[in-house]
Amino acid sequence: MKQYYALMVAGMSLICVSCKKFVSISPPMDQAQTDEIFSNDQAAISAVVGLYSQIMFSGNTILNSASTLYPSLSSDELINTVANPDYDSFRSNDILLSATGHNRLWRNGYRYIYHTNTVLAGLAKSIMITDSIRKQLSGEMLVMRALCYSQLSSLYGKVPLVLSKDYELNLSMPQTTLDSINHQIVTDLISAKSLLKEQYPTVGRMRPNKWTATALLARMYLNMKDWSSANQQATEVLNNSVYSLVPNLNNVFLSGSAEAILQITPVGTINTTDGNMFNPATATTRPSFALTTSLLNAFEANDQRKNSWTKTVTVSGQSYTHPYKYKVRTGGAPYTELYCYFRLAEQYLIRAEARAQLDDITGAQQDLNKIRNRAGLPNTTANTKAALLQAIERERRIEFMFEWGHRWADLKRWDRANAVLSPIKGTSWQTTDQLYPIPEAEIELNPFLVQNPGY
Amino acid sequence: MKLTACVLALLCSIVCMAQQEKIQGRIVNDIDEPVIGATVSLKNTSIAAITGRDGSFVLQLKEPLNNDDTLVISSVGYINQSLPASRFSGSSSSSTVILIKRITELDEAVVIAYGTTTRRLNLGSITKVSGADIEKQPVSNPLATLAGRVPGLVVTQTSGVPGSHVSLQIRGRASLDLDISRNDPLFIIDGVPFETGNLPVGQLTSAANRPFRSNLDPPEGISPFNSINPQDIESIEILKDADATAIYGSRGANGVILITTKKAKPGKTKLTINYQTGMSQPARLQEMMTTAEYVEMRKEAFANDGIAMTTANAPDILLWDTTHYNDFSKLLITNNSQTTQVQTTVSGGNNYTQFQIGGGYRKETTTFPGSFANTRGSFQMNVFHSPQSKKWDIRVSAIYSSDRNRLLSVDLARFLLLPPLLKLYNDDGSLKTQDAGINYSSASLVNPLLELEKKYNSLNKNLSANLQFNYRIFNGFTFRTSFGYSTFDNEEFTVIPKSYYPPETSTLASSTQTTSSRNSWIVEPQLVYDLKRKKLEMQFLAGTTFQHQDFQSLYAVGEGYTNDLLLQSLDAAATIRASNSKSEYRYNAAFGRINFNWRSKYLVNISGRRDGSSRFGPGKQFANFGAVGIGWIFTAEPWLQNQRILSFGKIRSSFGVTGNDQVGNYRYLDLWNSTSNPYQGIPGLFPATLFNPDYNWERNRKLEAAIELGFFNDGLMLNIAWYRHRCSNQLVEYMLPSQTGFTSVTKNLPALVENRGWEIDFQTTNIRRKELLWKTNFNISFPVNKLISFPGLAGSPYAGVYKEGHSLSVLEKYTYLGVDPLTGVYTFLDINGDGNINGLDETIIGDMDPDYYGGLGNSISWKQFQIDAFFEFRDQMGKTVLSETSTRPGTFRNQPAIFRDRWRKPGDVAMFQKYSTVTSTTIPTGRAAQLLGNSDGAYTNGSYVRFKTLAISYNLSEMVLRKLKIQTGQLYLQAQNLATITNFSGNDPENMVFYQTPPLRTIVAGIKLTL
Repeated sequence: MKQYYALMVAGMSLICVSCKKFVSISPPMDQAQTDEIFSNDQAAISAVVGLYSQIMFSGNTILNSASTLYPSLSSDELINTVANPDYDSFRSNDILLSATGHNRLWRNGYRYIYHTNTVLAGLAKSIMITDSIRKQLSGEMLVMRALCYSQLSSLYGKVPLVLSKDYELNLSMPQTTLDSINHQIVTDLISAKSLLKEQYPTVGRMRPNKWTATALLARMYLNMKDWSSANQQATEVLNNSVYSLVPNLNNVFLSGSAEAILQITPVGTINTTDGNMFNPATATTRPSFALTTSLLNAFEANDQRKNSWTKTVTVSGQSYTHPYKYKVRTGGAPYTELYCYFRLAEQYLIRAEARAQLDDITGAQQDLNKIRNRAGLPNTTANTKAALLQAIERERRIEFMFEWGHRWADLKRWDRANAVLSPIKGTSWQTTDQLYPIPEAEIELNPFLVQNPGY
Repeated sequence: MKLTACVLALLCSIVCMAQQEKIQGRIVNDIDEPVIGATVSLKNTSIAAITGRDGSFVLQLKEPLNNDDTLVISSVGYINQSLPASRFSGSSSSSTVILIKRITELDEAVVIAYGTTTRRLNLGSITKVSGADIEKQPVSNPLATLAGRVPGLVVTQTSGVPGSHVSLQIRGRASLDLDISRNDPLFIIDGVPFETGNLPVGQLTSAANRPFRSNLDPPEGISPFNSINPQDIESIEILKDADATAIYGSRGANGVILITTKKAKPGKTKLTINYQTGMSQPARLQEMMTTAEYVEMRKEAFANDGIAMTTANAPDILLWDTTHYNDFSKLLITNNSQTTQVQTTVSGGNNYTQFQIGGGYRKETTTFPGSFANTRGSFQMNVFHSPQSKKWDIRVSAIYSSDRNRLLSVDLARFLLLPPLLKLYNDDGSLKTQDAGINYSSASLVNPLLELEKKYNSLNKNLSANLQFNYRIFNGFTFRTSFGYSTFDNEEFTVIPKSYYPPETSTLASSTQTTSSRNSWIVEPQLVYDLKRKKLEMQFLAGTTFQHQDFQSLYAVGEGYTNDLLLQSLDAAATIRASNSKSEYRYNAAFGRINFNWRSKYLVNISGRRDGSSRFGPGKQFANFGAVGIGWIFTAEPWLQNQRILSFGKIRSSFGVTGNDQVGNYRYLDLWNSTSNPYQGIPGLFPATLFNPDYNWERNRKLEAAIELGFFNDGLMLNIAWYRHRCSNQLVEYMLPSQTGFTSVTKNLPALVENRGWEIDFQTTNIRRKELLWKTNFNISFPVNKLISFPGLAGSPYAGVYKEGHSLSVLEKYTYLGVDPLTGVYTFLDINGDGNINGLDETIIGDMDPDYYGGLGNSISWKQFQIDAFFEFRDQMGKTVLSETSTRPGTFRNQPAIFRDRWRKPGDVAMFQKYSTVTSTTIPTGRAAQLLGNSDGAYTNGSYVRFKTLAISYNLSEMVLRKLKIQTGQLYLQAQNLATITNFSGNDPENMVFYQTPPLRTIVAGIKLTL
């Protein structure tokens, strides 16, 4: 018997030498680890441009068309022509707490913010990245994070200001005050300005440079009613000989536009998501979105922007005017239209408004007229501060129609939303509709979030 | 004991007295193994002996043998034999007797982990479904044949599209998170883990997917099991408790399913041919509105809303022909599905070499219009050899199959929601893409016949090969090892041809192609020591597992095809996007088991396993699992010998711990993926997931007690089992607010989920006559699923999903009060009286778990006829079509005909609220419809009894067989899902989904010949 047991024990012990080595596998071949990425310049650049690729690939998100579409519906710019619970709820300002739009705006916004945070943390920790590249990449990510927060806080008001990648820390973070968010955005943009060069890092204007940061900073100061800073930042951009207004309105959104400060290039089989979404597929197809009567009536006579940036089609005897800033519906590389994030016209109108507020009537008129003249309109007749501000309001409405939600943000920052939207929207409009509701799912998952009033 | 001692003493005394005549011999079983402990006695005397370790016996006689003296040989598990004693007499003669095993159901072989046992000696909870029961069901997926036949196993067919997923759940849900662990059991085919498990292998959506899938539903698609031919299966064993599953350690938490393929048997060479053909139709369909009803609904809805009809909001009523009618269910999903199947098998061999080769072909078309079908070719073989010394033996078995599914991209049943007046054809016979300027181009408005152009094709190739080698080192010691290799390849493509799009659009054709491949090898060397003594049998088993699996997949999209000629060629595409994925999984374990059997009366099993898995981060890879099982066959006690009622009685119990490593690979690493597209020519990366290096094994503690009884010579067998499984250290994709950048992270939760219940089954032989045999089997399970504790549930993301003290499928809903006769709107109970219906007014109304389920089978053979009828039943809550967001009567969609009974004018008492065209929840009807979907009004009794299987066969008579010169011949008819008795109003109570093809009713006729 004894030898049997000896054999058994020997056998067992042989078997029990379970090699830890066997179950230690190498990392996946089709994925990269964070440490590897930030020990190599090229990989770190990939991590940064990955964000732009994702933004363009995902289409209708907060750093792409969703920032245009939803605020246009919520304000007085566009209507959806086909019933859709998601669009209906944004258009009628009765936003569902579970609307699809929230995924595109809130969820994708924070996904992009995570991307910027993890790159910024990786760059800060790494000792292997060339210093000039580290600066360039950090600056780009700071601009993108600032843009995310400026869009999120414009739509939702107070939002959690997440600046790290640590989920245990972030999962219960409450909303941050608007002052802190604005302060963070400004701080980020100021450091981005010092990190970034005036030259674009690659061909074209497809990644942020110093002037991109400056342009967003000017917009932020205008929002914060810091007129002289807005004036100063806009002037810095406008003094740049690289940028100029494109005389032909049809060419403003084309690749290589001299007016563009940042235009992200498409990556898929379409040009821009805007072009794909707004242009009907065939001559007999009803466009999905059409201009509101109110916007159609807002054009001055002979405004060339009506011809160049909108298009009217007749389907089944009914006429629809749809957005036409981006004219290409489908088609892959080479792309004729890129998605414009910042353009010079905004800097003129920022400075015009800042100058008007600072009582520089002539300066304001000059800037405003640049935009009006290009659209085929005569010089403004407004010559008082109040009249100028009104003229700027009208001008911004047309110049930035269905573009990045400018109209919705403008109405709110001028405190004009109630006065303008109440007559148009009727009983479905409430003062509290100026802020979108915090998505239901987010409040359920983070009890420290407080729903915006009115929802 | 005492008796034997007496006999021995007596024998000794006899030997001492005088040198007398003796008889001697040796007793072996049919495979030449000595039968130890058999009783040999001389009839009508007290002379008896018990065989020793080599099976030999010696009887000392007191007086010379008479010619008519008879020797009686008996042993547990063998048929008693009486032989003339003279055969064994004579001083030099030594005769060998071969005892034939008693084949009662108790002694049938039952496959267990790393071996076999019998029902008599088994200590685990194991249910066997035999090949005979599987063969009687005309279905293509072997998992579907288990429905209703196994206590503790819920089988749900998700769709009637051929090849679609069949979900299984053993003893309830243990894991909180279906995204991580779908509670799928471990599947083992001939000892080799079937690595795809029950997860879909494809990457593309097809008609076999659930059309309106939400995140809560598990992913589906073509079932990998559809590539396994049920006709190749000898038996399927379902292992449930700790004793049966703990040796599988980390992978046994959700039970284990052992599939054993048919093995060669010694005997005359046989050629068997089995051919069947038949047809299928959806078993149950809900009725939809006709055009007249639809138009009435639309007009009434506009009137109710006070909204004027315009060509923009009511093009269907104002612009379209309101008399045109399509019966979409007839047109799209109730075409006849044809099934043809042929199977041939050759087998034969002698005691030393045996072989079997089988080939099968099956084709099953869909119930859609057009030539869509699932075709499967399968091949199976096995060879066994041992030398005459039986010192070693080797068995090689392999199955290979190729399962092709030609489908379309969507299940056409979703288009039952299309307005029934939708015109499909232009006057010239071409397909319409618009009517009166309204394009058929949104998700809810398409020409369903154009969808037929969106072809989907999948090909699954499965090879599973296994070699088993046994070497008997010396007495009782056996070394054995298995080498398994399996590969599962999947190829898919979908095309959207140019012809799909309206001619005037500029959209070009596109195609998507994917491949994936899983390769796995496993080596399991084992050492077994069998100890056989007169009263004691023990078996020691020690073994180790090395397993390696790699996975790779490719996904490529070709776009911009200018014509439809070469859609499957990526080269012909203007642009190509591609992505791929690779991963690796390694697994290592050491395991052991000790069986202890004292006189087939007292039984003990101890098993254990140490597991290491690469799915966990450094330091978390290894863990220990184990179980103890004990049993007492009390009918073997002397005090129960003198009664004739109870023929068998056993009490058994087991306790142990198993685990679960069903979590994706590499989740503990901080990883980035490549973007699908480069940016300005620079490759892009983006963060893949949040990561957590610290997650660990999920543990399932299983406790079971059972009593197994046989009455009247085992004519009635009754088993009653009670079990309690407790799953802790739950692995979850912990839901996170998206402000963290992602919506979840892999994490362990200290929550405890309990599944307990009773399982009862019995088999009876009601009539056993010369030409008539009637048997009945019945099983019923009463499961209870409960979340015992969840520290911090209230503050966690699961607060709205789970409730402590209730099932994981708990339903917390509003209380529906009926339609207000004055306003015509659904009303609900305002529990807290605050004037609002909101989350605070929800109460627990029950859960979606079955209260009980089971099956009842009858099998009658009379002369040459055999009839098998099997009924499946389930008592459960049912979710009605009211819970669907598409259910908004009045909108631009067709609706189930039940909505005819709606409110029209004040005073009406109606089932449903007034029609409305508006879905917005800001108006009362829209809000009420949404609330109703979340109220108890959307739930009903979903219980059903289903006539699952009817099989009638006729065996050709001897005379005919002789004339045809064949060995056996059989004609048969088989039917599946023949009838369903239920109050459920939707399509089918089994899967409770709407707008997808329900499970089919199938009827086939066949012939089976053995040449």
